[in-house]
Amino acid sequence: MNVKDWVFAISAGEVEEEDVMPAEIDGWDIAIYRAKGKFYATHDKCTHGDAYLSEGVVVGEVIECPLHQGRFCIKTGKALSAPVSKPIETFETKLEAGNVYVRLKEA
Amino acid sequence: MPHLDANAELLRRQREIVDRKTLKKFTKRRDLPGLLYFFGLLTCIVGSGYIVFLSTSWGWLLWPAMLFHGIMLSHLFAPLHETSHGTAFRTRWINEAILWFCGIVTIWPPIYFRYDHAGHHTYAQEPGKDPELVLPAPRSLIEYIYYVSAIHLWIKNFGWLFRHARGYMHPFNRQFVPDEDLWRIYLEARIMLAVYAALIIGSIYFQTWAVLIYWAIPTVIGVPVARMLRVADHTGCPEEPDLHTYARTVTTDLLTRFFCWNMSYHCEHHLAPSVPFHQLKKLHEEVGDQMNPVGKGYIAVQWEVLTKHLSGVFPKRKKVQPLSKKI
Ligand code: FES
Repeated sequence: MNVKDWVFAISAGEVEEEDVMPAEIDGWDIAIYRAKGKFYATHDKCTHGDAYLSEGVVVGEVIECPLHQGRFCIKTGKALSAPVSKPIETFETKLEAGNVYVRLKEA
Repeated sequence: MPHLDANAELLRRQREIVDRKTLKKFTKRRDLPGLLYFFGLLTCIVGSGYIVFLSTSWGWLLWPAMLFHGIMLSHLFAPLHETSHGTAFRTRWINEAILWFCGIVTIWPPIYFRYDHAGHHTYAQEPGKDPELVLPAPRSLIEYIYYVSAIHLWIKNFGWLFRHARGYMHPFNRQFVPDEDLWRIYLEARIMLAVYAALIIGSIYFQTWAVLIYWAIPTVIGVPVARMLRVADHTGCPEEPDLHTYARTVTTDLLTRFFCWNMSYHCEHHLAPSVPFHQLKKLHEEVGDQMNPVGKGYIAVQWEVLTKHLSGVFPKRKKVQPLSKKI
């Protein structure tokens, strides 16, 4: 899978520590997380149902889906507990001049 | 893989009632409240167990003592439910350990319950879809007694355990579990049945009644109280997916709220299941007036169900929509 160029996602100040915000990048719904001072990005859609993870709760380095509390690791995308079983896709992030950039992957 | 397509709609309706920023105030996870509630309940259970111990030499007094102990034990459903959501504690292993402990004591397979309960939150009060729909209309007195006596519960839970242990899941339950996770459910059932078998064999080998009088009999005779609390959550509310009306928020005292882990705020729990039990009162203060606060206690709601929501003594044929699609 090829990677694309870095794209601006969100201003760092908009994402509080241990929180998540939505960002639309190239027509994709992406969730941007801030945990332990670092930024992470994943697809925003839960793999269990039609819910946005950016509406969920960040606990440490885990995102909990707002609907059924399925949990994913925000660093690796791994599904951690029922009812989710499929991982979410993760993306590289970088912080530059107070902005968070994300590098999407070619489909 | 099940796809719960009703979800986006559910979140949209949630946002109409409470915005993300407001909700965030209530979703923070902590360990201390859950530990206080859990060990508080455990202390009550040990205390009631001690009363059973004292009454073993008082003849017939053993039965009321076991009933009281069983009522205490039945409240372990509250931490089972809360830990199935994963919201009770910040520390995950504490959450999972208590989930398993409560699941084994109350005879609810904890991992399967997580899937089943996700279905309930998606399709609450929708006949034919909600896996935990309690006494759908038309409901009769016989069905009420059958539910509250918990006969249905033992048939259902042991049915799950025995079916899952032999590697089979009923198609209705199957829709909530992804293929890749079936093995977990089957393994869970085998572990639980092995634990119960070990208890039976151990009791016979050591010639002791302890398992029977401190756990099995109290569990069976005490659980109707917890069933009555469940009746108050939804039964008699409109059977349609309306967050405002499909559950009840019951007015009750501090002690009852302690035993049911604040599930008396049931509307608020369905509005935002990410909110831990210890924040539901605060969420209620914020949005409760938009929900369905019935302004009645559990006994009054029980009376209302018995007098207003039953149609006769004997069961009537129900119109249940077949499941038309995979969810
Ligand atoms: S929709 Fe995310 S856990 Fe169910």
